[in-house]
Amino acid sequence: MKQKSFAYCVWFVCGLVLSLFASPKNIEAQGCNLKLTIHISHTEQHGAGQEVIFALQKEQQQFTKKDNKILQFEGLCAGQYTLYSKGLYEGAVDTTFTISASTEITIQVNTVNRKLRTVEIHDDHFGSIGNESIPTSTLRQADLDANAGKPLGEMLKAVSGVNSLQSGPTISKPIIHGLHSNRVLIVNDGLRLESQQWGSEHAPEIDPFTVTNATVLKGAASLRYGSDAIGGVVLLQPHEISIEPGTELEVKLIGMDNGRMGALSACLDHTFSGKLKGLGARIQGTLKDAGNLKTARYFLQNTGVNEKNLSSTLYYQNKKLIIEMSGAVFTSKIGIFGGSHAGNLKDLLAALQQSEPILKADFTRKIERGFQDVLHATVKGRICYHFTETGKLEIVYGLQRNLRKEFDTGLPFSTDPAILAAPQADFRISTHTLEGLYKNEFKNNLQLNIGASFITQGNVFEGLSYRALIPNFRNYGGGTFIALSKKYKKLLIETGLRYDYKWLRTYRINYNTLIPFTGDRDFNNFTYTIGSTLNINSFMSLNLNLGSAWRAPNVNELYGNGVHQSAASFEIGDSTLKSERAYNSAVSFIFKKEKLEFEAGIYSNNINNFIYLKPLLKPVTTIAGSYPSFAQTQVNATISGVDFDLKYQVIPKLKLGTKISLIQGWNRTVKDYLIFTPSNRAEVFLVLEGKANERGKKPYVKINYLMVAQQHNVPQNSDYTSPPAAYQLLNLEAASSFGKKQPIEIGVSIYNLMNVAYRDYLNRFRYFADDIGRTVMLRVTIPFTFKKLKK
Amino acid sequence: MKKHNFIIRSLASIILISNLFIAGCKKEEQVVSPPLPGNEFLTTVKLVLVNTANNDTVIAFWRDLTPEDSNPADTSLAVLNLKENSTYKATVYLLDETKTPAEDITEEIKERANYHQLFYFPSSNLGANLLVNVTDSDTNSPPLPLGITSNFITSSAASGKVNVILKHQPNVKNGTFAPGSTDIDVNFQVNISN
Repeated sequence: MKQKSFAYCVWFVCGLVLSLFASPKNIEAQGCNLKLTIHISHTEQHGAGQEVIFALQKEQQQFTKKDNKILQFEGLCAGQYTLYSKGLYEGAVDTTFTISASTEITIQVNTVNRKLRTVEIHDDHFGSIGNESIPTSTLRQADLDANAGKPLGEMLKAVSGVNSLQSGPTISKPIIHGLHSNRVLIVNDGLRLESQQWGSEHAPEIDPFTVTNATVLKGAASLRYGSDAIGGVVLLQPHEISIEPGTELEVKLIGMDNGRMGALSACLDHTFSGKLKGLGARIQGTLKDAGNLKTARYFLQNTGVNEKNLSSTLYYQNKKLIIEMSGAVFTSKIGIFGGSHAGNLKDLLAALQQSEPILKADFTRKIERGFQDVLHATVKGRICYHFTETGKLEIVYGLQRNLRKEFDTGLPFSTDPAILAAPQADFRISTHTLEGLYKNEFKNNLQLNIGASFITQGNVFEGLSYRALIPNFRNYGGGTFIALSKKYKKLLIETGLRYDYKWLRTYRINYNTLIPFTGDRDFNNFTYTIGSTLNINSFMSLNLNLGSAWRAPNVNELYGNGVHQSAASFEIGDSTLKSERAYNSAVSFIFKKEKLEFEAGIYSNNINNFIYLKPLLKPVTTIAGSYPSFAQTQVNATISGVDFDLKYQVIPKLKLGTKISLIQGWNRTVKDYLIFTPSNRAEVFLVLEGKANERGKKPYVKINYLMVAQQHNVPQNSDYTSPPAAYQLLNLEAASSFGKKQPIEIGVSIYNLMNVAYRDYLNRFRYFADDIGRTVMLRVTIPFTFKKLKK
Repeated sequence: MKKHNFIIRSLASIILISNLFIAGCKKEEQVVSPPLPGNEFLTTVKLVLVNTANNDTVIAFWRDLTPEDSNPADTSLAVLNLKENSTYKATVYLLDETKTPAEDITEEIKERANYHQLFYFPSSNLGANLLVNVTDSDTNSPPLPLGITSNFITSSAASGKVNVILKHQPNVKNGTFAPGSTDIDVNFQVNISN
């Protein structure tokens, strides 16, 4: 952990080579036998064990070395070379020089009061223990910035193989390789997000402005974070507080024409000096407000959003110890598009007949009934002790409290003003988590991770509906894991095993007699994984990962019973459901050279006892009319697909790229397709990049063409209408930094430039309205730095 | 003074937030709250028809005493036996029979008349032998039909169904069926004889 926080704080300014001395030592004959020795000098020791990779390049040739203070390149020809840093510090060091003889140079890397903003931070605290060989994609600050202002689930779509499940334009949650909700873990700042994540219209309660790095692990990857993640894990990380004394303030302003959205986010960091050396503090907040959004043709009634978030952190670090305390409160009020309220099946079928919603609207910021009011509060404490440079012991405690109130379109039938103001559904869930982790690296390149975790949750449902949508419950869970990885010359082999136990007690009530009763279930099982990474040479590697994970049925799948309003369906739970068991295999190949980069991955996820809503083809009749009924059922399913990413430098500064993801979901039990499998999609983009500034940011213009196919592989008789037609979107983005003393970064993104009217298969509101039309987003980022000059 | 307010508010919010966590430690999930006492559920549609010629009264019930679940409704009393060539004054009562005595929700519909409308659709096999004309209206201007009271006008003998639908049309009520969502959608058997 320690080295990683250093990594945040150390800033290799681009072209920051403060002293570059080239002094000929031995004059040798011209030929390809020159030797270049580079001494890396750090003004402060940066953490050992982290891989700073430098590459030396001449035309097509490339030589790569890891940072070990002295880099030696042999057998070089005379000529012009470029030295640049790769991997973690990509883009940070970039310098060109000529050698005509064997040369020795010194590069001084200074620790300055800046963070590694451009750099991919792969902090193993949040990392993927035992999952290095699993297909992984990372979104950095620039990718996230280009989509600022969008819901988190939409931002993550920039990763190939990741889609989003939407309930209208403002509620979005990530889908990894066709799986979502309870099958995808979201880990925010080291804590597993615990809320009412089972609901498809329950968006993750995270302020996207706190995220500077998002990593998606695609596949069954739940060794470290506990069972359930049979689809994958989304790791979200904030940047860490600098260890250099001083104050930093970053202000972000976002404006969006669609919805007239305005957002302001500010992050103030202070690092103390003198007696309080090593202590840092942060306070961060976000305000966001938007009104009705517009599709290509019309406004969507009641689609405003209001968000207020506040977080703070205290961080202390000395040579061996890190102590962190943080707290965050996330609040949001989200309007639910009025046209999506279907009282019964007839209403829904009538809505399908309309080319646009009957409910007309203009722009307004007012959020009317038919909204969600969510509060998510988090407290975290972390202690990490480094007993050696590579060994550590870490304990993390988290408390999360999630309050979710859902107000339906219709007022309850009552004359009591308290009831009239009450939400139809009121969920309160509290989660305590405790995790311990021991990590050590041995001399023979063997790394060992051992961990244990404990979780308990209490859930309360209140509200106006006659029966609880999900029952009150208390659960306890514990798990322990061991993961080993060993590096040979070119080969990394890793394996891990985890055991989890879960106990669940539900508290319910007999609605006729009003006598309460309880019911217990318990689940336990193993998670295991084996993988390997073969670094064929400096630019090619091959990954293989085989893993098996499981997921206990969620309380809504076991006991949920009732009408799902936006889906106009009657869903029936099954209290006898068993755990799901996934067998995931993935192979990926990575090729990275200066002009051409590509990554191809193929995966297959076999899930036994896969829980899904099976159409019963028998309507349930209530006083409000009839609803098609669906029962929670277990089948065996296979989800397989291909992800392909390619980037090619056509001419200097101009890159052409493509991202393709193909996916198929198959229900092996009934030999039919799986419903709600994402459509195949491909995108092509062209990027024109300028030179990086001293903060490592490159001005760029990017044009992106996204093609989404129609989903033809759908099961019969399980949907009200056929999937929407294929669509194509053109998106444009550009960003640049201005000013040297006080930089200002300005970015513009235009989404759906051609203002195409389209509907997406995975938007649950596609029955009722189009997706959003052209949206222009303007972003201004101003970093202020106040630091004491060192004498 | 304003500053003072701000301090009080900040303090209040700190206390509120700390309360959140203290509440989080209690085992509040063990108390299952029954349906809130003041809230009312639609369980029953009661139709009362009075023959204008002789004050003969016909009463029918459509009942589902377990709302929000998949148990079938009781439709054994959802039958209207009417005389030929008669005019009946009809009144709808919407009841919550989970309570004793039953609560009348019709009053609340009347209060929010501008957001609601009741529709009556006789089935095709009744043909023109049953006509339903709504006789009341809301306070929109011009007034739009409400449908709590109506006239059922029969001609020749026939059998079929009448579909009674309550639409919830907040801010979009325009006298037509299309806007809004459905709160009630039930069928009554209708037998017209001499």
